[in-house]
Amino acid sequence: MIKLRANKRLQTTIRNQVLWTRFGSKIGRPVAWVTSGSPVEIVLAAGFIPFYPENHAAICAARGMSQDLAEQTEAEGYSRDLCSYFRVDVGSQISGRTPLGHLVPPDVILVSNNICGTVQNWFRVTAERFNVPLLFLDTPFNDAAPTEADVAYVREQLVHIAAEVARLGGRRVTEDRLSKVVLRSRDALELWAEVLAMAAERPAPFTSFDAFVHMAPIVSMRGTRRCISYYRALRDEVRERMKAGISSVPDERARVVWDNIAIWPVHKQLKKLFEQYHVSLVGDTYTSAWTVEHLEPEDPFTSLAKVYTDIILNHGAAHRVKVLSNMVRKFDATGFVLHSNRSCKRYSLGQFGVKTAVSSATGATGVVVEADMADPRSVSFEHLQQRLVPFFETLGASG
Amino acid sequence: MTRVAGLDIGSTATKCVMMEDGRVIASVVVPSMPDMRVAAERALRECGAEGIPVLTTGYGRALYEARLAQVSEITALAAGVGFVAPVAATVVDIGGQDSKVVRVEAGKVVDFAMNDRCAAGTGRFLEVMSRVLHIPFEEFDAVACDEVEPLPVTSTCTVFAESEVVGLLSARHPPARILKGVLTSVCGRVASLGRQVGVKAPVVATGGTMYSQAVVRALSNALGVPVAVPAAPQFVTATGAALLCARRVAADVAAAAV
Amino acid sequence: MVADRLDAVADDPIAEARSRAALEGRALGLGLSSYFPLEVFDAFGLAGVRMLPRPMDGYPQADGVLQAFACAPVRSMLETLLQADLPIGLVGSTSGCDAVTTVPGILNAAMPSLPVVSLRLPIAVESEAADRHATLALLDLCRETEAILGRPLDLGVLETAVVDREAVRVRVGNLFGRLPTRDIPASRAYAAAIAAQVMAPRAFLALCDEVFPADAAPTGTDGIPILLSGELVPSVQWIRDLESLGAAIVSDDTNTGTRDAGRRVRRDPPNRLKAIAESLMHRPVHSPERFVSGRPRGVAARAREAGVKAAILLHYKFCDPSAFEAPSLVAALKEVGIPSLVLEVDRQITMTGGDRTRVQTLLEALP
Repeated sequence: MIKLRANKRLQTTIRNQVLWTRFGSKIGRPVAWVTSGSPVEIVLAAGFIPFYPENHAAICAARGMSQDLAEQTEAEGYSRDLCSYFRVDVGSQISGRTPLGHLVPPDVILVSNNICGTVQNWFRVTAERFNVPLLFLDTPFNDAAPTEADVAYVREQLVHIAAEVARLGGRRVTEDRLSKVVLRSRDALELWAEVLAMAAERPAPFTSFDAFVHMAPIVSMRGTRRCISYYRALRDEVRERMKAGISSVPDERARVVWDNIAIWPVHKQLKKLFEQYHVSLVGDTYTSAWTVEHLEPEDPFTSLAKVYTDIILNHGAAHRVKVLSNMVRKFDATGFVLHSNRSCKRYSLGQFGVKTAVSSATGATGVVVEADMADPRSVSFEHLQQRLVPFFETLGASG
Repeated sequence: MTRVAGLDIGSTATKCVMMEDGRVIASVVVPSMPDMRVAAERALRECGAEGIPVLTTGYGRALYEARLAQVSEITALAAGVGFVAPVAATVVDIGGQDSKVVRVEAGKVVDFAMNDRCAAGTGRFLEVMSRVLHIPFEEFDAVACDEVEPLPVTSTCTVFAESEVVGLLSARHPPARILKGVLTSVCGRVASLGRQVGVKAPVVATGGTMYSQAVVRALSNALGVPVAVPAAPQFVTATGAALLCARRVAADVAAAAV
Repeated sequence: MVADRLDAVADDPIAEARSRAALEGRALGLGLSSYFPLEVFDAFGLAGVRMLPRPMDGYPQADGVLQAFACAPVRSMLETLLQADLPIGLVGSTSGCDAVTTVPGILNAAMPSLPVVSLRLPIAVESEAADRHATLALLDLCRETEAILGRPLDLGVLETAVVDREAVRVRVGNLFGRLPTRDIPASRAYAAAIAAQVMAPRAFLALCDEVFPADAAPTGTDGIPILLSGELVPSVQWIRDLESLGAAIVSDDTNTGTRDAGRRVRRDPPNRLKAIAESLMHRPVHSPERFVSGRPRGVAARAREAGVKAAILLHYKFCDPSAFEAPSLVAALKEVGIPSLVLEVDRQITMTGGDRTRVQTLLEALP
C-alpha cells in the first residue's frame, strides 16, 4: 500500500493554519468562530481569521481526547445525549486542553442552522462563555430546491451579517472583496470535487477514508489561496495514482458508499477492516458536501445565499436518497453503509427509510451501523465488525 | 424502649434493619424477586420486626402497606450515612438497577445525581460482565488484584460493552485485565455522575457491590479521592430508614403529649 | 360529571380526535408541533387537531423507522400515524428541532400515500425579513394544501377560526393564571390544556365553562409549591403522579398548551394570513439571540414571583433544545435560591420509579 504524499503535507498545512491563527490574532486580526456550513467568505472578506469548533472537535476525537473533554462538559450538567462535537469542544473551552496548544478566543461567532439545529445551541453556549456577539444565519429547511423567497430572505441576512462583522472590528465587505474570496472558494471546491470524483476509477486511487482526513482544509481554509494550492497538489497526486493504477485498497473486490460523518474513535481500525476485506469506500455524503456547484463571483451575496441554503443537511430524506443513489451509480458501488450517528439527529434519523429507498432505486445492498462520530463510549468496533463483515461477504468480498 | 424497623425494598435485594434506642439490634437481607411484597414480609419476619413501626424506602417502598411512612432511598441513604459515618460529605451508592452520588450534611441531602435508565455504572452492568467473563462477584477481589493492569473497555452501553468484552476474550486477552477494565468503566461512569454534584471528601461508598475491595479501589481511582466503606455497606439505607422511623415515632409521641 | 369528560379527553386525546372527525364528518388536519396554526386547517374544511404524545405500551411501528436516539413525543406521534387508523386529511409540520425536522421525510418514506405539508417558519425571530418570510412560508403552505385537498381556503371560516382558536388560547392561559392562588388543581389545568389541542374550539370553551365556573369555590390542593418547565406533559397521569408525591404546580413554563397560549393574532391589518404568520414569529422558541437575552433569568423571575420552593424541568431524553437549556435554567434558578431537578422522561409516559425517587428526594430535602 502506497501512502499519499499529501498526508505529510496535510499535517504541515494544518500546523501552519494553527500558527497563522495564533499569530494573526496576536497582531490584532479579529477572530470569528464559525460553523462548517457558515458563509465564511463574508468573514474572510471582512479580514477576520476563521476558526472551526467542529473541525477542532474532530481533531480532538481523532487524537483520542474526546471522552475526557466530553466529561468536562457533562459535569456542567449537559446531557450525554447531546452532540459529542459540542461536548468535546466545550470541554476543551472549560479545561483549556486542546491538541492545538491553546484556543484563540473569538471576537464574534457566526452560526447557521443549515447543517443542524444543534450548532445553534452549541454556539450560543460558546458565545455566552466568551461573552461575544453571536450572529445567526437562518436558512429555511428545504423540501426541494430553495425558493426565490428563501434566497431573498437568506441574502438579506447575509448583507446584515456583512455589516455586523464590519462593525465588530472588520473591514467593510464590498462586493468586490467578497467576489475575490468567493472565487477562491470556488476554485478550491472544484479541485476537491475533482479529487473525490477520481474515486470512480477502478481501482479507486483515493477513498473516503482518505477524504475524511483531507477534507480539513476545504472546511476550514476555503476562501484562501493556501487552500487552492493544497488541493491542486492533492489533485495532481491522486491523478498520478489513478494513471499509474495505484489502488487505495489492495486488490479491490467491492465498492461501497458511506452516509454520515466518520467514526473518529475507530477511524483507523475501520480503515484497516475495509482494507482487510478489499473493500473500497469510494464515496460519501459527508466530504462531498463541500463540492457545491454554482458558487458565482458575480452577485456574490445571492450566490452565497443559494449555495448555503442548498447544502445536503438542509434537505429532507428524499434528497438524501437522491444523492446517495446518484453516488452509488456514479462510483459503481454495490453496497452502502449508513452510519447511524447518535450525535447527529439531523443527519441520521430516517436512515432506515433511506436504506430501503436507495436499495430499491439502485439494487445496491445497504447496512445501518450504530455508532458515534466522537464519543468512544458509544462506539463498539466489535459491533461494527459484526455488522460489516457479513455485509462485505454479501458483496462478494472476503478477508 | 421502642423498637423500630427500616425496610429497604430494593430492585434486587430487600434489607431490613431493626433498631432499639439508637442501636442496630438486627438486620437481614432477602432477595426481592420474584415478589417484592412477599420479600418485604419475609425480611420483617426474619428480622423479628413484625408488629413494630416500619418505615419503608427503596424501589418497592410503596408496596408494603402496613408502613408508618415511606421516604425515597436517597433521603434514607443520607440519614443512614449520617449515622454510620457522620463525617461523610459525599456518598456513592452502586445499587442493582441504579447508582447515585449524594452530597450530604448532618444526615440530610444537599444535592444528588442518579444514573439514567441505561445500565452503565450500575450493579446490573457488573452482573452482565461477570457472566460474560465467567468470574463470579465473590472472586472479583482475587482476580482483579493490584498487579493486574486494566484493559480499556470504552463502550458504556451494556450491549456494546458486552460485544467489546467478547471481542477482547476472543483476542485472548486475560479475563483478569478485562475485569479490571470493566470495573474502571463502571466506576468512571459513577464518577461522571459525581461531577454533576461535585464530589467533596470525605467520601463514603455504600451498596452491596462495596463488599468487593476491587470495586472500592476502582471507585477510589475514578474519583481521585480515598473512599471509605462502612461495616455493613448494604444496610446503610435500611438503617437510615429505621432512624427516620424512630424520629417519626418520637415526633408522634410528642405531638400526642401536646 | 363534566370534569370526567375533560379527563377522558385529556387521557386519550387521539381517541377524542377520532370521534370528533366522525361526529363532524371531516377528516383530521393534524398539526405536529405546538406552532402549527390549526386555524388554517380549520379554514380548509379539516378538523384541526394537534398531535400529542399519548400513553402507549410500546412503539412497534415507530421503532422500525426511527433509531433509539429520538425523543418519546416524536416516537409516539410517528407510532400513532403509522398505525394508520385515523381519518387523516393532511399532516402539517413546522420547522423545529432536528428530530422534528426529519419527521416529514420519515413519513414520506414509510407512508407515501399520507399527505404531509411543512410550514417553513424562520427560526431567527424579531426581524422584518423573518416576518416577511414567515408570511411567504404560510402562503406556500396554503397553496400546497389547496393543491392536495383540491379545495380553496375559506376566508369566512378562517375569520371565525382565528377568533375561536384565540379564545381557546386565552382560556388556557387564564386557567394557568389561576395556579399560583391554587384555585384549581394543576392536573385539571393540564387536562384542559391537552383537551384544547384536540377538541373543537367552541366545544372546548363550553366544556370549560362547566368545569371551571367563574363563581366556584377554590378546589386547590395542598403540597409544596413548584414550577414545572418543559415542552409537553407526557400525560395528565404524569401530573397526577407528581401531585401525589406532594408537589403542587403553581407555575408553568412553556408546557403543553401554555407554550402557545400567549400567541395573539392581530385583527387590524387586512391580510389575515400575514397576521397569523407574524403571531407565530413571537413564539418562545429557542432562538439563540432571544435565549441570550434572558430566558433563564425570565424563568427564575417567574419562579420567584410564584413563590415556588423548587423547580422541576420536565425534559424528554434525546430532546436537544431542552438538554441545551437545562444547565442555564438550573443555574439561574439556583441564583435566586430555588433548587431544581431535571427529569428525563424516556419511553414511558407515566412516571417511572426512578423519577418518583428523584422527585420525592427533592421534596424531602427542602428545608
